[in-house]
Amino acid sequence: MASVIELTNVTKQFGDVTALRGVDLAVEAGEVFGFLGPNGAGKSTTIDMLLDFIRPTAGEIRVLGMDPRTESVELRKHVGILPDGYHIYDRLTGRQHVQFAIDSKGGDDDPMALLERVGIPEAADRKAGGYSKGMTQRLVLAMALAGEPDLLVLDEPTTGLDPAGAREMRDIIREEVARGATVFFSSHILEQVEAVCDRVAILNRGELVAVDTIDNLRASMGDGATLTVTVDAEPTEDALDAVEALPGITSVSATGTTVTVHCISSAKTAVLDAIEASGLHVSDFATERTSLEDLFLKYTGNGDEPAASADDATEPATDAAMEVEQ
Amino acid sequence: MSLALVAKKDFQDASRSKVLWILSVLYVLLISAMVWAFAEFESLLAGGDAAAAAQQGVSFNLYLFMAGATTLFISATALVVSYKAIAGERESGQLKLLLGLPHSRVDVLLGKVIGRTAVLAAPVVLGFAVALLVAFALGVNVVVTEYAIFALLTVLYALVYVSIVVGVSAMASTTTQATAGAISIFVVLEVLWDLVPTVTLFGYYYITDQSLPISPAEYPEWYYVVTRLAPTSAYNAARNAVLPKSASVSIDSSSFLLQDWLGFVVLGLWLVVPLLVGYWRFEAADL
Repeated sequence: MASVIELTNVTKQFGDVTALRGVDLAVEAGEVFGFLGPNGAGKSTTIDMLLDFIRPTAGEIRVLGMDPRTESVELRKHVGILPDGYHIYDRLTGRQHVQFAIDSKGGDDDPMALLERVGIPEAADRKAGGYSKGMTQRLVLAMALAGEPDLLVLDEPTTGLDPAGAREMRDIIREEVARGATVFFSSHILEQVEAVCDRVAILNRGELVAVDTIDNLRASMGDGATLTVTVDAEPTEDALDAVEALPGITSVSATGTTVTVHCISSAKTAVLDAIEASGLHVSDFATERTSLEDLFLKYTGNGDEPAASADDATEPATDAAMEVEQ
Repeated sequence: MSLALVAKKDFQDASRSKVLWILSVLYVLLISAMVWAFAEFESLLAGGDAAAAAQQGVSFNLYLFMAGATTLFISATALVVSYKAIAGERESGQLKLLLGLPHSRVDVLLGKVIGRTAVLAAPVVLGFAVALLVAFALGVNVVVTEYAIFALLTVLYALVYVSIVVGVSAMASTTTQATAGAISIFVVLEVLWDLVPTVTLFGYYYITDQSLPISPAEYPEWYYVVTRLAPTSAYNAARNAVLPKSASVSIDSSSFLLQDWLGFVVLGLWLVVPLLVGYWRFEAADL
């Protein structure tokens, strides 16, 4: 079967600004595809083109084998969308919104069942203008689920949701994939994508910088690890130098009796041996895999070389371009 | 199907706001007041004036009397009701919900025209219905079929105005532009369209050192042809085509270009052309 989403050399310019440059992307049937990038990278621009909200300046787009431009209405019968920057009809109730989506798709779903699925059945007959941000997001998700779409396009779906809500969102995504749908899911929050996606694409400044599975991306990081060793006395310079001289070591530092080593995973034993050989006794040690956070920062140009960024590996990044949901 | 859904949702949305109720009260009061005032004037005119006018084939009737007020109020309220129809939803992002569902941009545009026309037409029809009872109560001599035709013609006029305004709204990408567009429509169609030919005409007589004709009926033909191209004048011409003829000025209507039925053609053009232009821009737009 052909790809569910296929972008070929897609470019989009808004006046002088190039929002997207030569993007090639294929999303296969039945996968959860994460579309990752900092705010302003061009994620929404891409999604808006899938739905014919905006048109590409150059390149070709096929969604479910259809051209969004010429087969727009037919295409949208098979797609559920949670767009970015939408606004609901304040004076209509939640139930009316969902009913409208069901009627528009010519389906016969029960609006209450959809509202229950997204967790806001009690608000069904209230005007949607009074909903909180999270409730509104759930309402629009319910509209997207109407008519059992073959493709769900979710632009920053966890915006406005608390951690429990974000988890429910991921559960719904898994249910939809189990039903046979394909999910295309954008986020600037890495953890959201990591938790649910089969493959990810990383977009930065309008260009695709990586497309792969999470595991492969992790492997491409050189399988980095952070090793924290507690010893019985302050290590000497010679001891640290001996460790640093080992193969596969990126950096070594010490604070009091704690030694922190960035290295490839397979070098861990050699590090411990070298410390013991220098006459120190290892009382405790811990290892931590290099976070995808580093990966993301590396690709989006917001960090140091990944293996060297010790702080980024263990703490949420606070760059303006990145937000980590707590 | 899709069109009807969009129109229904649009009407549903508006009917939850106060607009529908405010307009209903406005039109019930306005049209009833016109009928009452006509009853008062009719009794004043019962003498020789009416007979003299009738001799010239021009009668002062209820519909001529009402038309001035209905056109002013309907054009103004159509602007208020519709100017944000497309631009407002585009700016807020409501269009992303609407166009995320399987509706074409044509459906959205026409659905808006129908929905907003319904918001305006429902109060207008209600106003006419209540005013008919007032007419019966006051003993005004009303032919019900004529009255109904006038009400329908007025609804057509509302539809034309709404489609002009929605067409302009579809061309605008922000509500600021839509507001400027709506104000421009009103100024051009309701003020300049009469004013410019009048000033031109007077200027022509002044420059050529001629004296103004004593009766407006003697103004040159082009003056009337041009002024009748405005939707409001077209509505009045169309009224004369289907209802007992009445006019504030009796002009020679033997010329083809001044045939009253052409009013329907002009209304038809105002119904279609702005929507076509609006669609052309809207279809090409990035939301």
